[in-house]
Amino acid sequence: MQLDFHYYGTYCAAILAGWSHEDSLKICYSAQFVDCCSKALLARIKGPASAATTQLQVELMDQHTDLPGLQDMTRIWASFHFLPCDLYAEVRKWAPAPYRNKYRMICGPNGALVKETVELAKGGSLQAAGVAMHVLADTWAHRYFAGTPSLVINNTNYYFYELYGDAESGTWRQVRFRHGPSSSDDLEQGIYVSTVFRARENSIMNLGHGRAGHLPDYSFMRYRYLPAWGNYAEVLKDNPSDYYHAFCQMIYGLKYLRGAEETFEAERYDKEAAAPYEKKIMEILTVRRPDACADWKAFAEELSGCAVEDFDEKRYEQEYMTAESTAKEGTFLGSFIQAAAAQKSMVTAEIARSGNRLAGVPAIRKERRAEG
Amino acid sequence: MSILNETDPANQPERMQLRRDENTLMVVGSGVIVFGVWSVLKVLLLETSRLPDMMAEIRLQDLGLEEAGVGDLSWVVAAMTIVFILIGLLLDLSIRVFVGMSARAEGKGKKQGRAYLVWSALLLTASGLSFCSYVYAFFRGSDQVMDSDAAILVELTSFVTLLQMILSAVRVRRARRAERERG
Repeated sequence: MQLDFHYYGTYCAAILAGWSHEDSLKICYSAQFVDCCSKALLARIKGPASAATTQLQVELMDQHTDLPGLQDMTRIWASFHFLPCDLYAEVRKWAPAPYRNKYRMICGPNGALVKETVELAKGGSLQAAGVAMHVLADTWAHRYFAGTPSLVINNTNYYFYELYGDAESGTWRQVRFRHGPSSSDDLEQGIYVSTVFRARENSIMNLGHGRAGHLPDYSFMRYRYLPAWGNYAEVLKDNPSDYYHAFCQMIYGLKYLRGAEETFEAERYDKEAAAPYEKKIMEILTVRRPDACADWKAFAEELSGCAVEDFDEKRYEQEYMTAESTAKEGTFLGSFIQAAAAQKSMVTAEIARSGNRLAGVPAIRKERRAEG
Repeated sequence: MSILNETDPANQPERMQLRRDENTLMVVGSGVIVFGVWSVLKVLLLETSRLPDMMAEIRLQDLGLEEAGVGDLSWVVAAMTIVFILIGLLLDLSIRVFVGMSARAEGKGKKQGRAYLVWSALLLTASGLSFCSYVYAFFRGSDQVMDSDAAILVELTSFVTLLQMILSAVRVRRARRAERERG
């Protein structure tokens, strides 16, 4: 997903869940900040690199794909952007262990880890709520891809068709992918930028949804393709519907975090809260354009009656950099860093507990080993 | 909602098998073209290395031309030999490119005639005979046994590729006919 949904969409969900304008701003800022908190940013503000929640393209270009490098990447992407749906999924008979481990990293909504993610944020900071909402939302957009480099899981081929037009009268047309890093998507002609094909299993090009370009992050996109792990089964990805489900689930999750709901369960959505605005939301989600920030912002301000400031990545940097080292945890970014570390630790531990070493061994276990 | 659903008509076993066979056609079609290029390169490299020996073997006195006072035309004979070899190579490459491109087009869903299947059957036969000759040379203990090792493997791969292409094309046509009949 993009800034329009992570920032403004989360703000709207928070308002509908009953949070105040100020708290909603902090939640949505944290949700969007997950896409910004790279090692480069943390180095700039002198924060801990282990709290990185994303990797920039330039960082990925320099990323080693040896075992420690792969584990480092998987820890970041699987924890924040491609939360595994089922770490104990059944695989076909005689599947080798490396394939089985990668298959179990496939992202999807309503898995056990989503519940743990939201419950982890309960009683925590607003930043933790924002991190949880980012992770929850991305399980819908990035479903069917894995947050670890894998050709056999994340590859796509020429069989890729998008629905051009509306759901009733649109036509299916084949998507054309190009690979120039400086190119941009041409939504009208159906030409999109994706990573180039690399036959090497652990190539960076095969990380996440790179082979499908930006298509999973466009809310208007409906497309069908053959996922590499699907054995020639076809997936129909309906982003408007998925995004709406994500929105309703965020409302429910944020109500739980506020205390208005007793438990957070999978497969539950607060459609009643969103129902009065469903038509408006679907209009925003289905318009064919690269960015819907303007419409989401207008909707957000209409909901809350307050001005919603634009996202500014550097808003809280000075506060963090000028704080004393003992006081950093109390700053906005300090709380975000703590929330990110907790989320990463939880997901890594769960992956390791399932017998999967793709994300390495969680830090807490290393400390226990060191102690004896 | 997005679906990966076994009950979806698009994911019935016949449809999935059809997609698999179409993809196979795309892949082996490219393989046939690559093998065609390889065949040309192999012969060109072989003949280039053997050119001096070929020139030396042409004995015009055996043809009686020298006695007839025509002069040394060994270079003409050599040039004509090379031209005929090149024509043969281009023909072979053209056929393989035609077969490969037709297979790829069929894999993409375009209707193709039977001609490319007939040619691929002929190529398959030639490939099989060539493979047998390499195996014979290998067991006979030929001087060029090192060349034969690599050639055996390449020829076997080429044979399997062509066989796979024919089988996939037949399956694709049967499946599409069955779909049309089902409506």
